[in-house]
Amino acid sequence: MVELRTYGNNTFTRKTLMRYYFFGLLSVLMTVFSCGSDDFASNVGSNFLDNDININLLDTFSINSSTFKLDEVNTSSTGRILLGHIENHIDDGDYLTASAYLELSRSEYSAVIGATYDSIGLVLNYDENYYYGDTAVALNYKVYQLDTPIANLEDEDGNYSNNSGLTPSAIENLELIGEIKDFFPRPNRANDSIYISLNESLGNTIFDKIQDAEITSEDEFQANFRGLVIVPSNETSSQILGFNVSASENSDGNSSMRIFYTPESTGDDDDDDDALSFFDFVVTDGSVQFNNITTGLSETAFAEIEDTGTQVYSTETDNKTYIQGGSGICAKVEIPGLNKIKGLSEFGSTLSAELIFNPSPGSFNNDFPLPDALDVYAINPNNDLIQEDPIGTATLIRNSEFIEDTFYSIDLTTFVQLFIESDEDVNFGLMFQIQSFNENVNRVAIDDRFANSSQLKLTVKYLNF
Amino acid sequence: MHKHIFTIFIVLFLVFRYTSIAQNDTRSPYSIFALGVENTVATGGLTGLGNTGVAQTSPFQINIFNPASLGYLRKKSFLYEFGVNGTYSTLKSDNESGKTNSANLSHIAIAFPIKENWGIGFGLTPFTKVGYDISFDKEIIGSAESFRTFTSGLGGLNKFYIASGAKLGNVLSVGVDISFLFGSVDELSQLFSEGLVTIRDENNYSAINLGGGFQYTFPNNKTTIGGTFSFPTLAKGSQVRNSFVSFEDGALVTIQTNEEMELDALEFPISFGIGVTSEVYKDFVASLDFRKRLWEETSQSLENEQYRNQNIYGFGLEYKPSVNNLKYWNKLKYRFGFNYNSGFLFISNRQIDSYFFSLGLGIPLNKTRRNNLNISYSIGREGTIDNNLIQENFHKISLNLNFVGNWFKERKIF
Repeated sequence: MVELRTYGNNTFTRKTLMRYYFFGLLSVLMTVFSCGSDDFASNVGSNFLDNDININLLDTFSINSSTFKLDEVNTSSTGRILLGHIENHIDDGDYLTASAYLELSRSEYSAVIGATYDSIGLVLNYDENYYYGDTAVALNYKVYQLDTPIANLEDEDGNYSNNSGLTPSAIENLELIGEIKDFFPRPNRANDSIYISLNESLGNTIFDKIQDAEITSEDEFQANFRGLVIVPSNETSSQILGFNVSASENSDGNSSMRIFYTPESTGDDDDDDDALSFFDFVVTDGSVQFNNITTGLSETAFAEIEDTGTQVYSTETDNKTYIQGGSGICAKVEIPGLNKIKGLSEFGSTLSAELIFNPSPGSFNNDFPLPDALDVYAINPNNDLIQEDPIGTATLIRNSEFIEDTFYSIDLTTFVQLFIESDEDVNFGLMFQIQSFNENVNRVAIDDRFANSSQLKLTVKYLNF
Repeated sequence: MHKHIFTIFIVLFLVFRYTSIAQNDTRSPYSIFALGVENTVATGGLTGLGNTGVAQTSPFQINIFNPASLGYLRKKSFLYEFGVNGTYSTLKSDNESGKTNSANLSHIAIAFPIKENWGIGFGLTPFTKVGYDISFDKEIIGSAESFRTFTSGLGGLNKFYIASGAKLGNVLSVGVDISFLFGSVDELSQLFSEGLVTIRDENNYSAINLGGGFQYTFPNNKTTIGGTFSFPTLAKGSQVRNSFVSFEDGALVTIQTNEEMELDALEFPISFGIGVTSEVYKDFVASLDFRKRLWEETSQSLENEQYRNQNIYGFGLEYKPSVNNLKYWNKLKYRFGFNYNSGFLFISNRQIDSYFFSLGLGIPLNKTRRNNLNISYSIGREGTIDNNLIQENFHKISLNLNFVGNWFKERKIF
């Protein structure tokens, strides 16, 4: 200030100085006090203040569970033959039978000069990824030759499903071309197979016709050999086995009908009569393969799901609900109370929604393992899928210590949020199925008792403000 | 002249609009109520005098406490001023404490006479300030779990006023003012429960407020009394809200997008003030002010808290040496002030009151001593740490620059 005064009367200079003075001070002040804060007050104030943000945990929804059966499961071209018979799997007196239909062919039909026919058989190559049930029990399979084109077994939609196929009595009227009895399977061995000898005259005939150029194409072959059906015996089987089936010929990892022959002898004196050759008839890309999977529930509490196609509520079936691949038996869950969430507030969102259920204790063991995951679909009241793809996955949470605490958990956050956002009341349900259920017959029993640890419960964490 | 003033005004208006809101100098949980904590700005030499000024008359400085003071402006004069302030404060509760500081433009104001004894003024100043950062712990309803919401608010209302005052005769002046209140409070709430929930509100408020005042100078010319009055005002608010949840898997669920909503209007109460300013001793001028705001008369209510009538007491003392001595310190004005404000919030059985002491200097910038730099330092506190409440201890420095120009003489401003 003293300096300022020494500039005396020079107004302009003084003004200029004043300007610097003011803005200088302002800058200093702004710098010194430039907005800074500790991370304070994180908790201060909350003792006497409140806000309108709330989270509700809702877990008292009424839930109905039931069992129903899909009209059909498309079982064709799955690459897996399913064979076997199991009983008392769902309820006392029920059964499930899986039999396989194969249309065979190969890529070329050319004569092998000088070859001599040896034998014919069916090679069933174990699918080491799939066996189900008690494999220590001996199996009995019968192989029949179809007498009409396999295409006659197509359903109206041009598909082959678990329901496609011949009746047991019609099968018995076919020509039995092979059989295996009291055989103990070793399904967990890679590249191991079951070999079933087939009717020698069948093999001879096919071999001769190829050698004589009477069979030179797939059509000509299939006119002579329509295909075959493999059926398990109803008496002794207690397991379902999977066998690989693909278009690859002369391969270790495939099932086929195999004709052995002795090639023309090339050596002069050497004895190599034992060196057999073979060619395979396989399920080619253009051939038909499907599994017939039949359930018998008429003696059980679930009879209605086959008779009328409707669902049977768990209240009538000892709190049990079932899922079974292959046969299309599905568990259904309806949550009528979900509509109530809509009334909670004008604005909100589902933070989480989890549905859990327990597999029925005692319903699973090493022979009948629980799938790690189940697919969850949305269905309408007629039990039709609302969308083709699953809306979620039920994940198995194992508890090896307390086996009864093993449960499936499904994240339904998006699904519940959709409910809330829709103007209509919720009238669709959830359907549970085994993943890839067209190529296995695994079964899950759900116990929805609201007692002990067994329950079926939806827990929704809902934000509103 | 007009052009310059106008340009500067517009520029400063814009600076104000965007700077003061961005650079908030409040960090008080109390500012969550009633559109923020009130912001009282003392203009000119009134800084340092405990926010007194209802009965202050001066032809050379702007007094926004009472529009009647505009009747005292000298013919052909032109008054303009700017102010900045900086605050350093400590917030503390029973078990926590923290520091915060900030700087703001505090006001710009202009006043000039229209006629002899009839003046008009306008200006811009923050009216309320909002700045809070609070976390709430709540139980999830239907469960033993809890969740924590972080809520922060930032903003406040600004006030643009136009005032006019006239002197009726030699002893009495009256004035009226109209204020346009406008501003926004941005509130952000976030919580994490399964996903990150974000609720972002932009709340805009506006209001118009009418007031008036008088000043009466006793014939001895040493004592003035004054009074002010302000009508109640409804601040109407509208909100634009965006809310969404982002989940860990990357999913984003939008709840609201630019959802517009009317907010409950906030009512500023009827208020009045009285004051007396008197030369109590040679070169000593003392002021005593009392202001009251009748919050209890408003129809609004809070959930757990209460609005209480607010009483503000101010005392100011200014010493201006009159010795004809060119020593520099004899040209300064020395000021002291005290202010007690009962506040209007009653929370947890406590009135959230505040007080401060201030010291100030008026430093002349030119020969006539009409242009002044006024500096003041205040120290005070607000609230209490009792009953889990918050106490703020603050230090505040204010700088005002006030100039007296000549209306008809072209000159350079800055």
